[in-house]
Amino acid sequence: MSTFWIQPARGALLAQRTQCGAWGYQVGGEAYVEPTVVAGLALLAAGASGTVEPAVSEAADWLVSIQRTDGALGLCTGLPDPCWATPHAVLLWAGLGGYQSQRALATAWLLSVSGETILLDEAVAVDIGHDTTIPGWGWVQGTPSWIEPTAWALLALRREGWSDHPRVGDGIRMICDRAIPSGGWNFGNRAVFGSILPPQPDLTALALLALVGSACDERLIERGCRFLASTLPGIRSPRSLAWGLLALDAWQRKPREGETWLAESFAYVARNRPTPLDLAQLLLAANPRSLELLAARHPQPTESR
Amino acid sequence: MSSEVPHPRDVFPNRSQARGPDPRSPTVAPGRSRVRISRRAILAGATGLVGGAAGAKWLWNTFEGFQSASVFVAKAASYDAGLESIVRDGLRELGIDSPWAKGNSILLKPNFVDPRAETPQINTHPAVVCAVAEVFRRWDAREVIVAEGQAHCRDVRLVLEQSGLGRALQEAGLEYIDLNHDDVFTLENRLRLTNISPFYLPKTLRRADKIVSLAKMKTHHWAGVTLSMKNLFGILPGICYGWPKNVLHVAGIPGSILDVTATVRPHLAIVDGIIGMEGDGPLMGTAKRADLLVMGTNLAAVDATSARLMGFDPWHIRYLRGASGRIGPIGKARIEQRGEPIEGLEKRFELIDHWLMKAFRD
Repeated sequence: MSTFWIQPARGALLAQRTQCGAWGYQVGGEAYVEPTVVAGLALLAAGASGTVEPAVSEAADWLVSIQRTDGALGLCTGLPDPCWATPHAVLLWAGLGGYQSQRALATAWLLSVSGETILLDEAVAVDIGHDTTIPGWGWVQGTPSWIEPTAWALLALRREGWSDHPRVGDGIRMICDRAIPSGGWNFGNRAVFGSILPPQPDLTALALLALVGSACDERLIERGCRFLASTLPGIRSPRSLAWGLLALDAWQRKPREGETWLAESFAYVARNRPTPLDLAQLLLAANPRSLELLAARHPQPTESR
Repeated sequence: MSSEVPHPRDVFPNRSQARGPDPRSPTVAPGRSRVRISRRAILAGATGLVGGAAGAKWLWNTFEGFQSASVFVAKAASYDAGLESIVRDGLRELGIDSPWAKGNSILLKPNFVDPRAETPQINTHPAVVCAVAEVFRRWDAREVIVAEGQAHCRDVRLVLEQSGLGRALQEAGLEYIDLNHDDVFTLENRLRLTNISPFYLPKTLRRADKIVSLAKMKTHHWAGVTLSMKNLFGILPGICYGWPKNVLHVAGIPGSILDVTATVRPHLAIVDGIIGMEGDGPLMGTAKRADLLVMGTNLAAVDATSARLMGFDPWHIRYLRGASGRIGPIGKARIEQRGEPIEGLEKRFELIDHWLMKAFRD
C-alpha cells in the first residue's frame, strides 16, 4: 500500500489554512470557496467515522459568512460574483450533516439559474457541433453552459435529493450531448467547424461523476472510462489524476496502480510548491469515502462494468 | 493593398489644406461688456463646428490617431539555436537595450493553451520563451517570470508536464505563475468598447514592471488571426471568467481584445512565427512555417505586420481595424518596418473553408 504520503499531505494541507480558517488557491493567498470546499471534503473523508476535524467545521462556517442573501456564494469575501462555486459549498455543508437553511437557500438559487441557451440557425448549428438549447450551468451568469459547473451543480443537487428535478435531467442531457465521439469530454465543445476537439482527463472525470446514477447511454460511460484508463498512467498532475481515479472508482474501474500513482503525484508536487488544491485533490482520491461525500457512489454496481 | 489608408503627404500635399476652420472668425464683437451674436453667426459657427468635427474625425481616422510605431521582423529558421541573439539584436534595433530591463520585474505572457507536445504550432515554443528570458536576464532584470492563464485546459500542471514547457522552465530556472488561480484586483476598463467593467486582473500584474506578450502566429476561426493582442485573453483569471473565457466571446471578441489590450497595456510584443498555425486555429489547425519572429512595443503595429506576413490585409481583421487610432497604427504608412522587409517573406496562412472566413480575406 502506497499510503505513506497521506499523513504528510494532510499535515501540509492543514498548515496551508488562511487566517480565516479557509484555504486559498495559493499558499499565503486569499481564501476562496473552491479550495476551501475541496480541502474540507478531503479532510472529512479522511477523518474517522463520527468525528469531524475542527478545521472542517471552521471552513464550513467561513462559507456561511460569505453566502449571499439569495443563497449563492461568490468566489471569496471580496468577490460576490461569479457564483459557480455555490454547489461546492452545498457539498461540504451536506457532508457535515448540518447547515440546513444555508443548503436549502443555495439549492434554491442553483435551481433558479441556468446557462444561456441559444437557438441557432441550422447552418451555424452545424459549425458549433452541440445542442445549444439544452440548459446546464455556466461559469458566469449570462453565458452558456459548460461541463465543469454543470457537473458540480448536478453533484450538489443529487446530494440534496433533487435527482428527479427537471433541471437535473436537463443537466444530464447537456453533458451527454457534449460528449466527444471518440470518448471523453473537454470543457464543453465537442467540435467546432467540423473539427473534433480532444478530450481532457479532468473534465471527463467530472462528467462521469455527474452521470453516476443517471440513465444515460452506457456507451458514453464506456468510452469515457476507456479514455481515462488509457491516459491516467502517463499523468501525475494532481487535478487530472485525482478526479480521474475518483471517476473510475465510481464506475468500478479503479486501476490497481492508482495508489502508487497518487503517491508519485504527491512526490512530484511536493518538489514543486504544492497548492492547497493539489494536496486536497490527492487526499480526496485516496479515500473511498469521498464518493459518498460527492454523491457519486454508484447505487447498483453491475457485473458487466 | 487596396484598402490601405494613404500616407498623409499623399492626401495633403499642401499642408494648409489640412487646417480646419479659421478660429479667428469674427463672430463675437469685442470691446463691449455684452456679447452680441447674430443668428447668421450662430448658423455659420454651427456649420463650422460640424464641419470641423467631421474633418477632425476624418483626419484622426486617416492618420490613425497620429500614431506611429516601429516593428522589427527577424528571420529565424529553427528553434534550435541562436534565438537569444536574434531577439537581442531585434530589440536593440527598436531602441530597447539593457536600461529597459535593468532592475525590473519582467512578466512574459506566452500563448500556452494546450498540453499536446506533438503539435508545435499551438503554443509559443519554450525555446522562444527561454531565449527572451535570457536576453532580459543578461540585461540585469531583477526577475523574469513566465505567467499564463490557459483558456481551455484548467489543469496547469498537466499542460506544463505534457507540453515540455515545465521542463524547459525548470532547466532555465524560470518561475511560472498560474494566472487563472491568482488572487485578483479590479481595474476599470479603459476603452469600454464592451460592457465588461471593471476587469478582474491577476495580482501578479502588479508585481511586474514590464509586461511582454509572447504570442504565437496563428489563424483564428472567430477573429481571423490571433497574435499579441488576442494573446492577452490569457491574462484574465479563469476563476473569474471561466474555461473557456466565454464572457469575452459573449461581450464581443473584437471589442474584448481591444478593451483588454487598452486596460493591461503591455510594454512589448514578440510573435513566434517560426512555426505558426493555419487552418482551424487557434487549437486544431496545422503547422505552417513562416521562419520569423516579429517584435515591437506597439501591439497593434506588431499584429498588423504579422497579419501582413500571413497574407492578410489588417484592415479586414475587425479587431485590428478597431485598434487603429486607439491602440496603435496598422497602416503600412504609419509603421516603420525594420529588419527584414515584408515583401518576399509573406506566406499565405490558409483559413478553413467556410463562408464566415470570407470577411477576413475579401
